[in-house]
Amino acid sequence: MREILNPRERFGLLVIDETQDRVPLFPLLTSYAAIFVGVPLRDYYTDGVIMAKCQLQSREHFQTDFISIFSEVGIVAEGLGSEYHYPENDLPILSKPKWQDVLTAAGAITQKGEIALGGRLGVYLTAINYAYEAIADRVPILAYIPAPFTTAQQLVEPESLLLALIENPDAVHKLLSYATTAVINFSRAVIRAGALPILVDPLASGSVLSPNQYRQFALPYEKMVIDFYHRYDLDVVLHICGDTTNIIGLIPASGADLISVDKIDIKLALAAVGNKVRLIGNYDTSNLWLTPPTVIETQVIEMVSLGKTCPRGYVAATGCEVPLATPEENLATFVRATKISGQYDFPTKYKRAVV
Amino acid sequence: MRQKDNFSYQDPKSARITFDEWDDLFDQIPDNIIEKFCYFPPNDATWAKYLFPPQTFAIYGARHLRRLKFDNSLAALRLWGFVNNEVERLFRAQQIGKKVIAVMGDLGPLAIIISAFPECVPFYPDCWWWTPFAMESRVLLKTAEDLGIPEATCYSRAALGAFVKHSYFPDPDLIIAATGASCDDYSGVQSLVAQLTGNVIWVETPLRQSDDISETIELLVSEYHRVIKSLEELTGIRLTEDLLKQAIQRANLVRKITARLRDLAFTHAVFPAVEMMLIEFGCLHFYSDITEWINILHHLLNTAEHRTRTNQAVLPLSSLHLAWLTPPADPLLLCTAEDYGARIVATEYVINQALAPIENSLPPLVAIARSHLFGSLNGTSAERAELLIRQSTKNSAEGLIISGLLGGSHCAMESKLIGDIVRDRLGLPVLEFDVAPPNREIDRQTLTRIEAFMELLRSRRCAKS
Amino acid sequence: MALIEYKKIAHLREERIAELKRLRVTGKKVVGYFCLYVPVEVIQASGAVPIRLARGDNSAALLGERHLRPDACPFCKSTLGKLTTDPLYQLADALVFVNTCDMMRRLPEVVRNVVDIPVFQIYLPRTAEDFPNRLNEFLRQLEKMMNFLKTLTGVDGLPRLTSTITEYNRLRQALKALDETRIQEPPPVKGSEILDLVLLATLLKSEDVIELISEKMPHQPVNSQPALPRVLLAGSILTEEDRRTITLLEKELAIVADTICTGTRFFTETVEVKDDPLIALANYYFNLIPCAFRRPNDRLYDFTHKLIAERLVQGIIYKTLLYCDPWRFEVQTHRTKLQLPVLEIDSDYSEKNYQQLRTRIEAFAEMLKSK
Repeated sequence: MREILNPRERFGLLVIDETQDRVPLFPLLTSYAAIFVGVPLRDYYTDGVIMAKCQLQSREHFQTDFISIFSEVGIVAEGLGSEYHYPENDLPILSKPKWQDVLTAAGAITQKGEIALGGRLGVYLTAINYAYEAIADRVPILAYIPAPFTTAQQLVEPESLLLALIENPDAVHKLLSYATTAVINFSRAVIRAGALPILVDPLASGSVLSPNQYRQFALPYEKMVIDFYHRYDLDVVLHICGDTTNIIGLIPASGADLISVDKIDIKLALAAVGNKVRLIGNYDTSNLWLTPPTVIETQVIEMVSLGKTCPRGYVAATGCEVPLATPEENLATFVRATKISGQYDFPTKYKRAVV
Repeated sequence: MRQKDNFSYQDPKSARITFDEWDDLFDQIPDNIIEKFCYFPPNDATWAKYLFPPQTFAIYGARHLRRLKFDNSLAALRLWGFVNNEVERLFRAQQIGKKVIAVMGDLGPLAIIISAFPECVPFYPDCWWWTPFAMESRVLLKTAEDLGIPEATCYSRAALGAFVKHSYFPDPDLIIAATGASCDDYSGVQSLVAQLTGNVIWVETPLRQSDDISETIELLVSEYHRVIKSLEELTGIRLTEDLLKQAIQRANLVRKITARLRDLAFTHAVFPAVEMMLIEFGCLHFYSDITEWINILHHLLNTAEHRTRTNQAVLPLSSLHLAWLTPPADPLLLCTAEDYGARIVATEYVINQALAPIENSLPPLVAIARSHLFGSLNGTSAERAELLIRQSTKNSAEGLIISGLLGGSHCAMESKLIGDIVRDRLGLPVLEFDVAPPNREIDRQTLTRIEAFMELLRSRRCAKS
Repeated sequence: MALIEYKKIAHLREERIAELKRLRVTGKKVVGYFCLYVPVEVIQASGAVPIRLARGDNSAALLGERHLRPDACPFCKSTLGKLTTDPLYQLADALVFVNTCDMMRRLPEVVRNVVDIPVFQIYLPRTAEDFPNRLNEFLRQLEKMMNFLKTLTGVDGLPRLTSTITEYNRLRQALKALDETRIQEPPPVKGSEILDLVLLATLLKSEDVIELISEKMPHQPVNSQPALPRVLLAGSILTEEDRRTITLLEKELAIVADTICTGTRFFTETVEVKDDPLIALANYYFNLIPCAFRRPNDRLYDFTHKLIAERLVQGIIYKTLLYCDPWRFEVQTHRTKLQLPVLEIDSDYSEKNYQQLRTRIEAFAEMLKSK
């Protein structure tokens, strides 16, 4: 089916509150691209050209609407000094955080201003550049940036941070400010490379934090980063996977323009925030992996039919990253079902295009 | 010496800077300045802001910005942000109840009449010929080709692609197509737009026969009456002479400031050539918001005058002096010429009808008709050459660059005609080339030719001295 | 069996050129023109001989490239070349242009660098809706043209205008009657023959052409041959030299209709004089079945539809000059509006792809036969 708009044009209309030809299509097709193309995961996340090529190839095959530059949420933490192990066929695993605990971190943090970043920022930038030069006139390039709270979790032993939320909040805030500066520095490089940053904060979901903790420790720092993105007038996606039922009403205060949700009833999300932000989501990734295509089709059609009613706009997506073992046919069904059920009445005026 | 009216922001010493350098500079600009500027003022909607750096627009597809060099003033950033924001601005205009009127072909005069109607926003889809180059993309050109427009034609065929896509500007509330003594390629585009939309008002752009103006002006004024009737039906507003006079006054203010900026740029190198081209083209439809465009022009003028007073040329005044005929579809060509040691001191960008002041002493429609009739393409190529010769003589041009396109209808005739006239009258070397399709870089052959041309100009200058 | 042998046509042309040379010696002025929109009646009534300069060949085009870019219109380039080399062109004491397309509009400027003869350019509004202001302007242009010709010939054309119009109407009617025989199957007249006659009609005296047509008018159907697919010819101006391509086409196809300015559009309508003959001419020429450059040009498609229905046309041959933007921009609209197969041919008068063209024509004919 030949479409009038390409993904760039479609997204451009969405973010200026204009009707598109159909709902934009955003399965979070990240490391899955490596599996689809058949390259070892380690190659994917350590070589920017390979990452970009895998993304381009899988996007071309599945005809989705975005390029996703992302490997895992430790990338900023690694750039700051946390150490990761790189298995050949799995994503990087945190082997040694930069600091043992939050108090040690708070004591060590003295820097103000710009923070130098090492690690695999170069991989990201290479991937962004490659994809940008290849396709950015037609397809938006998204670069997933781990938010300050998620980053902070990777700078210290995870239990230490969770305990410190209660026992040493000031130290946590110092760590979070440091992480925020780093995230902003990382983001600046990504912005210059031509990607639209999408802020991901999976470790701030209801699965980890209480609403109050989210409000105190995640939200303000998400907002700082988003304020920085808004200086560039960027349309900011905030993705929090996991259960966000208890914090959905708070998330718009981050300033995000589009909220990507996972384990939450889409009707609830629509009711809570549909008038304030554009909604992205939220097909269950386990279903995507394990359910037969016929069931996927029915479920996606139902989801998209609901999502389309979002007053501010809607993007059909998976709740989180496409699982590595997802059968190709399942993802193709997701795409197909979205395109069928996601049509809008477009264009709104003259329709006599003879194309 | 501080520059007045720069909103408590100190511009650095004037320079051309890269894409990345602009991001560094942007970091210094406080939030309150970003918040200050909006279009359709007064307006506190968040979407109405536009002071954003090239990085923003590059992320949304304007890839070519990464290759260009920019003026480093706040006024120039405002200019770029405003120009790059125009697509959104047109959609927002319709969202807030304004009538968006596509006017094609005349490049200036009709936009004044349209802008006389309150809440009407005129725009020229013709200007979307730059979009493929800004995005380094063949999407719009390919869309036009799918509709049968041959490849060897003017890049203004991108405008047809834009109509088909419905996403580069909103579907207009009215389409007015002026054709006649204009450009065949674009007239072909207009014909296809008429097929697509089924509803176009045709306006005759008359041939200027120099012995014979007054009756042709009458013809034009009758054409304008039809346009006005359609606009009155659309808006429910009757156009009064006062409204028209006010529109002319605003347009004249734009033209006056633009003329002054051109003068300062050509004589004192206050702004680089790409910014100057954007400024000139602002006279067409004011980038869809005349009020804010005038504010920006004032800001640019303040900066220009400050630079003149403080001897801050953005390019060496000793650079080679170039005249340029026909706006280059790829603005990187202008940057390249400057990188190779030249600066532009004379331009004829096919828009004389948008630059010359409109006479106040005549009845308004007659005055607009006169400026329409004295457009760049209405008369002979020799007359167009005269426009360039006057400026080139005044500003001591040393060479002429003619940027055309393969298969462009008037280029095929005019380029040689005008080049020969300028060569014969002023003894200037002339470099003519066709602008290659959108790409990241200028093609090697053109670069080599430009380089060689600059060498020639340099050696001529040495020989003279 | 040809209606009129091509050799005869060539002979008639040569004879006429010789005659015009003699007439010039006696003081008669010859006025060359290029475009269908030039009112030939005005030229003739003003005491001059109108000749349409519609020739194009590669060697002349190459000569013309001294003055124009290679991507300029081949017809314009050829015109410039021929002004100094072709005996027909060298007969012209003056030239009349119309501002049709960009290239023709600017041609007078270049011509002035090539030959030193008076040149007049008629301004025809490009916009074709016949609003009074536009018609009035065109009328004014014809008045100016008359004054120009009066200066050239010393003759006021107005008194003889009505009779000249009548003469040309008779010529058009004669051509039309012949053309209409192409409705028959098989058509007794070839498309190339109509084109030859129209070009002849813009060179010879009207009465000579009328007489020729009446002598040769087919009175009975031609012996039946295998029916060739019936096609309509559309596109840019066709010159004498384009005949070679037409001959190639007619090996496989029957050209039963055309919308060419050197074809049917010359004669399909006649001038209706009510009171003022100049007003009648202004109305007529302003409202001619439009060339593709006019806006809007819907009437061109209405006319083409009518021909397709009337003549049972099966396909379109769309022949344009290379870089002819007004016609090349309309090819897709021809496809979508007319809903018939289209064979596109473009030409710059060089013969480099003749073999390939032959193959394409054969394939097109086969495709039409199989439908």
